Amino acid sequence: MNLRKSILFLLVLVTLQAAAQPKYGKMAEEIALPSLTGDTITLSSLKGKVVLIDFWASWCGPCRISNKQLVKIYPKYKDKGFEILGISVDEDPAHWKKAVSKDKINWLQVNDNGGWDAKTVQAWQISAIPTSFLVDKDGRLIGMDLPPKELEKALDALLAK
Amino acid sequence: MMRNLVLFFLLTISFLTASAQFKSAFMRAEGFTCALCSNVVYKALEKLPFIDSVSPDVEHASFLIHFREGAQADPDAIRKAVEVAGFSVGELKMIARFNNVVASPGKPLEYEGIRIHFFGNGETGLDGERTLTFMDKGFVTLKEFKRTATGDRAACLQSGRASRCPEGKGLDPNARIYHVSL
Repeated sequence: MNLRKSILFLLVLVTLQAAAQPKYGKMAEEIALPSLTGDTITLSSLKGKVVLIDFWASWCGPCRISNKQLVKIYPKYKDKGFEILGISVDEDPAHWKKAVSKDKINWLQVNDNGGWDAKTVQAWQISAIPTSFLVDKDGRLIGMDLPPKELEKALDALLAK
Repeated sequence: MMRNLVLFFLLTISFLTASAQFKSAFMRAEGFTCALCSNVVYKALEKLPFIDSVSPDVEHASFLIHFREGAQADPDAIRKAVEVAGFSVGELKMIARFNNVVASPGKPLEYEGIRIHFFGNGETGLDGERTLTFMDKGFVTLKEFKRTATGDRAACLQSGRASRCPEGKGLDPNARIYHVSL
């Protein structure tokens, strides 16, 4: 009886954990959000490229540090088929735009202006920022929160193919 | 005409009662990681029944909290929520609206369901919007607490209970008193 209960508990736990983050190898969920100019950018339009999906906000100090690292990595790979889709969850688009220009970001930027209640934040089950996902040319999730060196290693391998 | 007057009177009363409450607060949470960057503090605050909305305030690196209309803001509940989330309050500033009241040095002021005490020598006249900075233990950084909680104030700011504070005479010894600076 007790054993059955604990197995059930374990199963519930495993399911809960599995639901806590998108699965590796799974197709990334579609994203469609407004860019700096107001046009809608979709994740599916980037098929054929290796994409880093990067959740951030202007008020998040660690995200701003991560931006600085990405500013160095992006130009090295962008012509080889790499793209970054930055998703700011800033409530005020003005704060987002200001941070983009201050951090000299020249990759794709979209804004889901709902803070922690933003719909992509819910769909992707983001509990802290920065959080990033690496998506392969077919749109499959292949990495999460890779530190700069690991990201470069992954890009070297993926873009050499 | 009479009806209009009554209506006007009613409106004035409701306006006055509605305006005498804590409207909003800036709260800086501290921890080993960025408190604004994780949703745990946000979610913990959002659950409190007297809180209407929570948003990050870039300028103050704080949470900007708006209280529900007519609800009583509970500073200890804010502190507990932040602590349960694994952080601590580094600073709490609440914005109050007063209708011409006088705070006397010997007696805490009853305001919107809580007792607040202003440090100072003389009487303090309060009118309009004022920002109250909380000084009790748990509402400031440890460093700040060590700097301000000295001498006679130490035991009082440490416990925040009437029995440990000179201005708490005549109150239930366990009564909560919040100490603030303007």
